[in-house]
Amino acid sequence: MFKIKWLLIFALFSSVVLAQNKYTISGYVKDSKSSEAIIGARIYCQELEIGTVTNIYGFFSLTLPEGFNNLLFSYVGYEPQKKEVNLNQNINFDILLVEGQLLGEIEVTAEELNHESTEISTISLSMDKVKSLPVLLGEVDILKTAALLPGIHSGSEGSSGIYVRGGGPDQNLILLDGVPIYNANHLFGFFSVFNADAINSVKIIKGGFPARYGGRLSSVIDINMNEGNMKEYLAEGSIGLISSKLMLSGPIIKDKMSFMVSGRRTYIDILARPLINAANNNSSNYKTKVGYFFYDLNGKINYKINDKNRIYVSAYMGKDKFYLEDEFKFYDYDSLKFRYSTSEAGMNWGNKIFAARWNHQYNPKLLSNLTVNFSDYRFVTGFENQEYYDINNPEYDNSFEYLSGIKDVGIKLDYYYYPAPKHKIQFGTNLINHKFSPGVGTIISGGNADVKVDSTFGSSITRSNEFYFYVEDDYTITKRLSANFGLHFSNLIVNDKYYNSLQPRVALNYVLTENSSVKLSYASMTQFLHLLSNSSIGLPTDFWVPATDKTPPQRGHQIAAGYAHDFKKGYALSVEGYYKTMNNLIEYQEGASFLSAGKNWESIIEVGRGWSYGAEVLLEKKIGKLSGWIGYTLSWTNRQFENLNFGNIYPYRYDRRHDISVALTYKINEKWDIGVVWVYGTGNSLTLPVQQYQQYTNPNNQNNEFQYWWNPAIENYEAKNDYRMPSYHRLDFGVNKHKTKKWGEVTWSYGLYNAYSRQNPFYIEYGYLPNDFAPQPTKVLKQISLFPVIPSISYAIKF
Amino acid sequence: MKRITVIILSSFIIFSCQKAIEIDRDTIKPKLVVNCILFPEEDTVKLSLSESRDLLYDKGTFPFVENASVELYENGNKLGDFDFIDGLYTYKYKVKKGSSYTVRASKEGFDDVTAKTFVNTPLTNVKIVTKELDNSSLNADITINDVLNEDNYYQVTMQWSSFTEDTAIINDPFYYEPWLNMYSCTNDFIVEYPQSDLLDGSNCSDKFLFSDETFKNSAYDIKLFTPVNNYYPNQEGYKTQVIVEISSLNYDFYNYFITKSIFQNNLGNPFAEPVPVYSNIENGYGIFGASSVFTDTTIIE
Repeated sequence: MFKIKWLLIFALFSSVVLAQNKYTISGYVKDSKSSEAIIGARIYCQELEIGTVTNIYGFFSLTLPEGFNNLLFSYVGYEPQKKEVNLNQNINFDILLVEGQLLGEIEVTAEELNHESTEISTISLSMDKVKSLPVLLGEVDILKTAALLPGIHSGSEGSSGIYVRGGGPDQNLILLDGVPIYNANHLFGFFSVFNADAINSVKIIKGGFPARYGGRLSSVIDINMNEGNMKEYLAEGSIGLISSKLMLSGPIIKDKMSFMVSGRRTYIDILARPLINAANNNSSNYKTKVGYFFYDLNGKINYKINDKNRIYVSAYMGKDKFYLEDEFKFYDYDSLKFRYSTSEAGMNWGNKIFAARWNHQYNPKLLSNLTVNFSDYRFVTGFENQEYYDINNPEYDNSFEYLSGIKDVGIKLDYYYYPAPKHKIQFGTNLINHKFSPGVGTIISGGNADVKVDSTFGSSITRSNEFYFYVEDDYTITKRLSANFGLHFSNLIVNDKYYNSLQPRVALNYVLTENSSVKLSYASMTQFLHLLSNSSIGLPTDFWVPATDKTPPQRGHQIAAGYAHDFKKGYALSVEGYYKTMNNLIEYQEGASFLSAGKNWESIIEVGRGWSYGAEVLLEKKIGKLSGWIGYTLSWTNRQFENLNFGNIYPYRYDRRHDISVALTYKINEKWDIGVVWVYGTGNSLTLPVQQYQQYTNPNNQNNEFQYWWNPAIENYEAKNDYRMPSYHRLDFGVNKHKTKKWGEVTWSYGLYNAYSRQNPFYIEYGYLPNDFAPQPTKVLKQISLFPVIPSISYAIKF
Repeated sequence: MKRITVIILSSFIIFSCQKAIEIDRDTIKPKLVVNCILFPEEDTVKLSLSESRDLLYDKGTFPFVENASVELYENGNKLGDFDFIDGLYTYKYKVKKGSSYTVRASKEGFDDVTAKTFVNTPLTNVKIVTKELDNSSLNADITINDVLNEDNYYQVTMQWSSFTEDTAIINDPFYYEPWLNMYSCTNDFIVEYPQSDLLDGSNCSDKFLFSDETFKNSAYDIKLFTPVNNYYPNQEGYKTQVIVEISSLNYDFYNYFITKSIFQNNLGNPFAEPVPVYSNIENGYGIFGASSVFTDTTIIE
């Protein structure tokens, strides 16, 4: 620790000394058409062989010696731009890159190559790639695409969340414009909440976490929304089988202020309503309504006050809703009027987030960003039964509501300091106030009934304050050796208790040849939140709870080592191994569930540990007509809890020995492109009873013969998660046809999800098949699968 | 709550399709199942020996194992062999407190099974006062004096029965009413099963299980109460009698009882975590435990 501190001080000091005869070029790299920031663009001085990349605001700062310098500004998919600058003072300018055609090998140098970067276990997803791969029902999905990368998978069809290097779904820090999203799923995980049309960039970090990130053990998924077109109005929309979406963007004040709004809604409920009405024999006396939909709205305003100050305001709101309503009326001959009996039940969940950011450039070497954010995630389920003659005066009114949620208010200040080309220093602080509502139930029994109840039970609301400080330096030590050193110090105050954690982070990159490097990283992580989730199927009923005495903060350590090789023609190979430990994990007690109403969550959980290790191989082709990747993961993930599985080690439910993914697109010509995805994964672990036996009944008990029906056989579980489901594999195929019109562009997308109709396991249980009509049906172990082959078609426009 | 479950499941069923998965039933070899609880107050040890079956077996009862060799050992010394009578293996012997017992069972075609357990000191020093309050509820005040220097585990139950002095009814099995478990409640916080309901701070169940962890070697008071409609007293021609039963369970039986009760409560709940039921039978299943029972009967006039 001592050495790291002195290294940082030395680095800062030397940079000041060395900067005396140098000047700094700073500014933003933007898209020429829209003026949107380009994140990760490369700025390179060929003579000096030094460069930098733009940060998440598109900002760059590069300090060079006095005199003439030739700079190359480049980014994948854009025409590179050369610029000669005569440095005799600090210069500030913006570079506008023009979107270009496929340019061949030059594009390979357009972004920082993997083997040059200190980043390890990090992948940037191109939005073009996300949009061109085939997907379920034509719904383009960032998280589903991310799950095609090695080390990441989505559990099973129908399970929410993603699982990174053996971690749970709560261990992923999913940031939308810097604000954490707690439930990133629609429809139990079939779709994510991110509307691809509204997204600018996605970066996924699985290990070697820079110090700027904290609060989760397993991954960071940093998503930035489009800023809005500063120059002209733009619209993009699509009509699909289950949903439609629209994105509008444009200047409010040209080159000064822009907006972006996008919306998406499913319409399964509207399309299916006539069928549901027919199936339920709706009549004048009986009406029923069943449905499901989700929607999301994104919006962003980007205001450039002047060259040194910018403001970004972004918001997201999304919701899933299931509902079931029925009404029955009959004529009451005693009171000579209609009596109504109604019931409503349903569940809904959704996120709301808001962020306001102020970018301020103090000087060419120092940029700051102040963020004020708010987020609210709620899950509500419940029912209400009423009987009445007059709805305002019910005879009987019984309702139950179950709420869980988490609300955050935060303020964050980040500084980006570029003292010299060899140093990129970032430091900052963040304060978050969490308000947890972990499973609060309310029963109301009212109306004209004799007994009235209005009662709230379950857990009380808990507030906690989390704050952290961090500092990191991306330091080019020699031409071959570079490092990212950092410290993250996080703190939590909850229930008058104080927890803290000092987390050192280091990532080293050593260039072996002009195309290859070896990498090594260590990251210590602490998480002050837990997600209490069901082990059978992931549901929105999973709820967030704070670290407390009973559930201490989760702590993790990860070591990763890798080899990166950038080949010619855009091929890149990365091979990584990792070992990760996770302490203070929580699980439900045996027999408990979220329906254990009336129980405080702390009384139905167990605390234990987990660990994961494995190797990942990723072969990418970044440019050319054929592009995409092939990934392979070999991994082991285990858990151990003192009071689960009799204290024995057991495999994590998503322990996946082998995982293969192939995601390729081929651009035939300007009109046609095709995409293919094939995935294979070892079956998930499952706790499945194997044998059953007679339970003990007291031979002296005279009532045994009466109670025999109430003494069911005991189903014996040999061990937790000791059964392997059949393996999962699936082929998706998609074709996109683009047509340029005078007014814009039209794209028809045709897709086949699960093209060879593999029946992949969703869950497994003992029971009877629905088509077994024999007088004594045969009991079987049955597998329930969700999706056979599903074709899709969508129509998208852009103008 | 059921409705919410239906909604969650139906949302999946809309899409789902099902198929049977092959199970190689030949690889699932039945095991011997021993169910035997030792009662120090009885003079005969009774043991049930049956076969386990795979989960595709779809009959309510399990075949008994006849003609097996079943032996009982006390503190490592063999006492003798069990006899098979009327579906049960019996051995005439009164087990002793503070002794450990081993049972071994073998039968051709099955793996031999062994189990070991310890007999705790029977409960003797218990005070129970059962009384009805204002014809509205029945209260039982129980004082347990924990047995010294032992880990003890307790189960408290209440049962009730109506009886009549009309011999015609007593002799007619149609009218004869057996003892029925009584659903009662407690506000006691040390109860391990069931866990308390935060709605009203109480636990209600037909049985309560707790250990002596918090009152080792000392006395402990626990109160049960039940509303009048749980036992229907004062029916014409009948009297009501109530039994409060305190069982002292040993470690094995206590763990079996708790895990079995939780398992049973969660049957059919797809959201509940699986519950492995405790078993101390090596190479087999079931329970070999010990218990002593103290009862108090009160007639409600």
